[in-house]
Amino acid sequence: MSFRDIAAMAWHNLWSRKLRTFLNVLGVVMACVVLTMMLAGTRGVEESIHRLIEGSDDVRRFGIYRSYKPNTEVPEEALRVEEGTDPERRKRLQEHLRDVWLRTHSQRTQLTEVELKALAELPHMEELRPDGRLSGTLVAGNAKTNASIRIAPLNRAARARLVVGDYLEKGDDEGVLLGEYAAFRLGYTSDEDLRRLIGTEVSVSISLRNARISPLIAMLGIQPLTEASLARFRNAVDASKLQAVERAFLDAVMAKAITTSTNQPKTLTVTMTVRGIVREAKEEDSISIFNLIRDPSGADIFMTNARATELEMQQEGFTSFYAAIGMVDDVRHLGTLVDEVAALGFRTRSSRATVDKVDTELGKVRLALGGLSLLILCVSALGISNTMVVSVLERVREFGVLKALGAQDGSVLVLMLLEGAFTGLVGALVGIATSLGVSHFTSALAQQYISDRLRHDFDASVFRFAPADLLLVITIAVGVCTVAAILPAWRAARLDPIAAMRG
Amino acid sequence: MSIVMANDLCKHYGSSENPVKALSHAQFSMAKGERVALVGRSGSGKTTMLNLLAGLDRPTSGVLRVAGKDLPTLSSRALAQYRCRDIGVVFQSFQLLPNRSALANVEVPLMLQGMDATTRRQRALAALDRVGLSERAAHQPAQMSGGEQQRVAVARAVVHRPSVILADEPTGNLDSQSAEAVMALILEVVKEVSAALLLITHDHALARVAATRLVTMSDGCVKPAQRYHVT
Repeated sequence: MSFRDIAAMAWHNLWSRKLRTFLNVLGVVMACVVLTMMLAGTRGVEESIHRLIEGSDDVRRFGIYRSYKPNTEVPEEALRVEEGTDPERRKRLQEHLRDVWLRTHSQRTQLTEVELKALAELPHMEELRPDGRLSGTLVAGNAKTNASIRIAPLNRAARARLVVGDYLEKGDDEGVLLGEYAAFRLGYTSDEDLRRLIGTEVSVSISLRNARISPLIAMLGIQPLTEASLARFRNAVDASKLQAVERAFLDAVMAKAITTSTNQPKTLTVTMTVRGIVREAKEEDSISIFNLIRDPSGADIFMTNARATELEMQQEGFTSFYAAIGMVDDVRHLGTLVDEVAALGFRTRSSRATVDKVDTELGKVRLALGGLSLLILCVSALGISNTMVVSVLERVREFGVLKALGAQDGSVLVLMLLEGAFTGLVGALVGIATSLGVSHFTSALAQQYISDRLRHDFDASVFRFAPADLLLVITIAVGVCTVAAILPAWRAARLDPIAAMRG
Repeated sequence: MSIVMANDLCKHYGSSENPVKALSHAQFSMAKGERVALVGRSGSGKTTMLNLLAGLDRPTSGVLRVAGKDLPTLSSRALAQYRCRDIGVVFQSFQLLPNRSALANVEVPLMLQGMDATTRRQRALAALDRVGLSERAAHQPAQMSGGEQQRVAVARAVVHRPSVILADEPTGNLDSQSAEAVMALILEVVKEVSAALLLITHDHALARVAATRLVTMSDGCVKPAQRYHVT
C-alpha cells in the first residue's frame, strides 16, 4: 500500500467523520491561535521596541567621566576582606577597596584635548562633546541678558527642536543657535520677531575666570583682594608669632588667593551670527527610561563643538573637562564602544543595562507565553488522543477488515498517525488564519496600551508574523497531534483481525 | 496438483494444560480450480479451518500449504501479502468498509497490492460491472441492500484474481432469492477467474449445488470426502 494511498485514506476518514474531526480541529485551532498570537505579539513588540531603541538618540548617547587608569595593578592585600563574608558582599566591598586604592595610588585620567581627540577617533563614535560649563552675556542690539552656553548636539532629536531658521552644522563655528527663552528675554517673542533675529549678529562676552572657583567666591561673598590688601595681610602674618608650620600654611593660602583673586578676570567677546532658534526639550521628545544622559536643551546659546571647546579651554586654570557626552553611530555597537572607552580609563554611564534588561524581560515574557501556549496545545493533544482512542474502538471492525484483506500493521499505524497529523495541520492552518484576522482587530488596542506604558508614540505593528514562527506553529501542532495519535495508532495496528471483525 | 494441502493440522486455543482443540490432526486438500463445500455443525471447526486458510490465524502444528506457500512459516508481513494476493474471502456479514463507496471497497485489495490508482479503478469498475453494480459504484454500503452488499463483497474477493476463494456462509444473511442469485454469481466469477472455491456452509442443499466435493467436519476432524457430479 503506497504512502499516497494511506494519506488519501486518512484524509477520507477525517472527512467522512465531520463532527468528530471538527471538534478535534477546533481544539488545535484554539491552541494554535494562542501560540501564533503569542509568537507574533512577542516578536512584533520586540522588533518595535528594538526599532524604537535603535532609532533613539537617547539610547545612543552615553556619558564619559574621568576615572583612574584601570591597568594599575592593585595589590591583593589592599583588597583583603575577612574570610567567610557573603560572596556578593565581599565582591561589593572589594570594589570599594579597589576604588579607594586607585584614588590614592593611581593617576586620574583627564579629559583634555588629547584624550578627547583619542576618544573621538574610536570606531563607531559618531559624535563627542565635552560637557562644558561656559556662561556669559548675550547682547543683541541694545538688549542683553546673562546666558548659559552649550554645544549644539547634532542628533535628530536636537534638530527636531528647531523653531525658526536653520540648525547649526558642523564646521559653522561663526554661527549660533539661541534658545527660545533667551530670545524672549532679549525682546524677541513672536514668530516674526524670531525670523528677524535669524542672520543678525550677536555678541557673546565670556568670563574666562575659572568656572569652578568663581562661583565659590561668589557664593561665600568674598571680595577679591587687592594687591594693597594682600601686602598688609602678609605684613601682619610676618609680624605675628606664628610657628613655622602655621606660617607655611598661610603662605600657601595666600599664594592661591593671589592667583585666583588678584588678577582681574579676563573677558572674551565674540561676535556670532544667529542661525536658528531652538526650543527646550519636552518629556515626550525622548524615551524616558532610556534618557539617562540628557542633551543640554535648556541652554541659552548653542555653539559648535569646536568653538565651545576652544573657548572652554581658554578659561583660567583649565586642566580638564569634567565629563563628555559620546554618541555611538548604531545602538548595536553601544556595548563595544562603552567597553573601549572604559578600557581607556574612563567611567561611563549608558543605557546598555536598560536595553539588556528590556531584552531579558521580553525573553521572560516570551518564555512564559510560550510555555502557556504549549500547555494549551498539550491539553488539546490529550483531548485529541482521547477522541482517537474512542475512534479506534468504534472502527475496530473496519481495521479488522483492512487487515483481513492484507493491510500491514505498519500501514494501519501510519494511517492513524496521518489522521493525527492532518488534524494538527488543518488546525494549525486555520489557527494561523484566525490569528491573522484577530491581530488585525487587536493591534490598535495593543498599540495604545504600549504607548501608554512607554509614554512614547508607538505606531508600529504590534503583531509580526514571521514565516519561521508560522512554520514553528505548524510543526508543533502537527508534531503534538501525531504524538497524541501514537497510542491509538498502536492499538489499531496490533488488532487481531478475527476478533476485530467480530466487533 | 493441490492448490491447498493441509496435513495433520492442529489448532488449539486456551492454556496448554486445558486446551480447546478446534482442529485435531485434520487432513485436507483442494485441487486447482476445484469447488469444495465444507459442512458441519456449529463448533465443528469450519471457521477455524477458514481462518487458517485465509492466513488470519496460525496453526498450532501441522503442515498447511496454499498456493505454494507454507503458511505456518510465513512472517506477519508475508502473511499479509499472501492475504491480499493469493486469496479472496467472502464473509457472511459482508465486511465492507462503511464509509467508503462500493468502488472504493472493491479497490481495497488492489490498493493493498500497491497498484496505481488508474489501473485499479478500471479493474474495480469492471468487477462491479461483472456483478451488475456498475451504476451503484459511488454508493456507500448503507445505501445498498444486503444482496447488493454481498455482490460488492464478491467483486472485492475476485478483483485481484486470487487462486483460492474462501466463502464463509456467503448467503447466510440473505433472503432465499438474493441467496440464490449471489451463489450463482459466485460460481460464475470463480469459474471465470479459474480459482478454487472453498464454500463453508451448513446448508447441504447449497453445498450440493455449489461444490463438486463435500467435506464434512466434526469435532475438529475432517471426515472422508463425498464427491458430487459436476453440474
